[in-house]
Amino acid sequence: MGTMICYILIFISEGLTAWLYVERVWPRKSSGLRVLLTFGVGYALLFGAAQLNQFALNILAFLAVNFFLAKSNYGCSGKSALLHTALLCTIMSLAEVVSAQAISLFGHAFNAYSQNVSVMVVMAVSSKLLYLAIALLCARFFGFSQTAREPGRLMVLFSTVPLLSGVICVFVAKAGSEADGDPIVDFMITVNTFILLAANYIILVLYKHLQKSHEENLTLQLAIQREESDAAYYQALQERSERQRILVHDIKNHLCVINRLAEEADADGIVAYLGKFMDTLEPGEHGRMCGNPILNILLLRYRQECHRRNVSFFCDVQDGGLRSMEQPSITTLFSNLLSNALEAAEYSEAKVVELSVREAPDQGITIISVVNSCDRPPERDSSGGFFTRKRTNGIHGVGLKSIARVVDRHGGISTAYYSPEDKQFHHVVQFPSETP
Amino acid sequence: MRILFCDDNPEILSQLQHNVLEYFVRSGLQTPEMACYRDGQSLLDSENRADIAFLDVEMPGISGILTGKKLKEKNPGIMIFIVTSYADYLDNAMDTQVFRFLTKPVDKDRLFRSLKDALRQYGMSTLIPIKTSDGLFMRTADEIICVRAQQRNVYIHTTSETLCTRENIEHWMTVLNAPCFFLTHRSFIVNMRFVQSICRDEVHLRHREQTIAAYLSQRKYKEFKHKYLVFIESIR
Repeated sequence: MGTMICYILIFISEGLTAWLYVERVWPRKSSGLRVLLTFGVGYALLFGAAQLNQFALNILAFLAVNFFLAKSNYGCSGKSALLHTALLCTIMSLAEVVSAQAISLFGHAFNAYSQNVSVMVVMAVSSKLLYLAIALLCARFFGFSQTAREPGRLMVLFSTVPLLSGVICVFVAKAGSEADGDPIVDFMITVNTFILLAANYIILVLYKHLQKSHEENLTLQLAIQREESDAAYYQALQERSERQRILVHDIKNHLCVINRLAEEADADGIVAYLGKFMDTLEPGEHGRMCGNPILNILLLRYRQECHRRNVSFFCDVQDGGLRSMEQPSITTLFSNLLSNALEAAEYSEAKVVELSVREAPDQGITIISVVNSCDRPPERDSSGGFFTRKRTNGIHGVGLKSIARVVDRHGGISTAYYSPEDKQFHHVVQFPSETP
Repeated sequence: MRILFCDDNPEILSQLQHNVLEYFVRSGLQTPEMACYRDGQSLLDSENRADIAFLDVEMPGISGILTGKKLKEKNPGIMIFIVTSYADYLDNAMDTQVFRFLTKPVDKDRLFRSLKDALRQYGMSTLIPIKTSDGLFMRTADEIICVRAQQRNVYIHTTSETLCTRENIEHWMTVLNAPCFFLTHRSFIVNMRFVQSICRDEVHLRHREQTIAAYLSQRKYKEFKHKYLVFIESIR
């Protein structure tokens, strides 16, 4: 009876430790009651599995239950859940081995806890306290995790060390229980335990370093993109200024010609001359494509750019629905959407880009759609985006992240898909057109 | 289906009509009734009901925009295509709820895609019988906001009222086969046209001041979000 109560308390403390750890690492997405219930059920299952007295089963069950608890209650990716679950398993196993070793220094056998309730209590208290301390230290070291900062595929690689450590713990525990107090074996088990702890600590440090590098890389990409945008902007300003200078110079010549025609009372000549003059004006420099002045300039620039690259650009913008969006967001959103579309359309056969912005006033939403011709379907990457086929060397993928950031910030949703029958790529964004 | 064409240029009128006819033939659809006019006034004097209208902006007499507005007043469900030589912004067209703007020369592929979207929307104007204890009501798919099952009853929320029927959700899933309907939960069918926002476990529907929250099964969230965005893109 005493043993049973002890085991129940052990599992309650393990559940509490796991909960304290995950609360510090990931944002919670379920209610407190649901977390309490799922942890209760999960650790009850672990308690049941422990009655079968199989090391390997205990380890596997611990991994599976904690992975499920993390994934279902907290905002984390599968890889992140795997890494942290494996770490918890390793820490717990190592804590138990360390406690068993410490107790064996006082003359008890390595597995004396299974026969002696007092030894079991001492071992349980010491191992669970150690487990709690190391787990909380690790959680503090990790800090609050953000999925966007995690280096994707490498997380699986990092998870192998804690997982293998768990397996080694099983072997060590088995060896310890069979060693029958041999001091050399005891020494080897102790050293092994500390080596495993050190190895896992090194993995933690490496992971943290990689996470930081990943974040710095992203920041750098954004900074570079910003610099490129600034450079392109100032270049466009400079080109415009040059064209205006030339235009002013040419206008004087044109006015002289028109003046001479007027002196000769040649009305038809004036009309013909003005018609030819209008034809020489490049499309995209003038016009009104929407009511928002900044967006208008952006659209005119893209129209000009499309013309330069032989891409047809169709634009149907009802910008009333953009009133809830601030100007920088409008610029970020449209410039990234159109930039991606233009890059893809330029290398397609049909060479078409279509932009549509519509408001549905009865539902209080605005819909933005960018469609571009695209001869080959883009491949999806593991993080839900697309592999780039941009021909320029450089950092890619930041545009889609910028779009997602703007959409999220305005409470919207978006999707991107390829239509093989039309050979077109669609990017659709929906967001509330009224500020809540 | 009835389609109108209005342009003062007979060549453009003929070309447009030819392209639209080609679309229906290629798609294997029944050819609609078509009528051509050279100015807006004669169109308004002759027509009372049409489903689609292609209107040139610059015409003698009243402009295509004004013609479109008046057609909408007579028949709010009509889909207006404005055909213009100017790619520029048309201020006075913004409140006419134009279905599409097409620039001359009309790109055939773009015209065909627009017609496909228009026909999808046209499909939502078929009348659906709703049998209640107070009698038989006929409503179009466009008017049905959502269907909600509660205990033994099924409530049909429309833009004007809420009707109570005894047919179950499975029956309505069969009847409401327009592409705008989606079963978000075992007790809710929503019309994606009225969706205002989507959460992980709820869909908020709105029609003017009327708002309804429908349950969304979490495992259907991704699928529903994608289908909804594809759908509203097609009817934008």
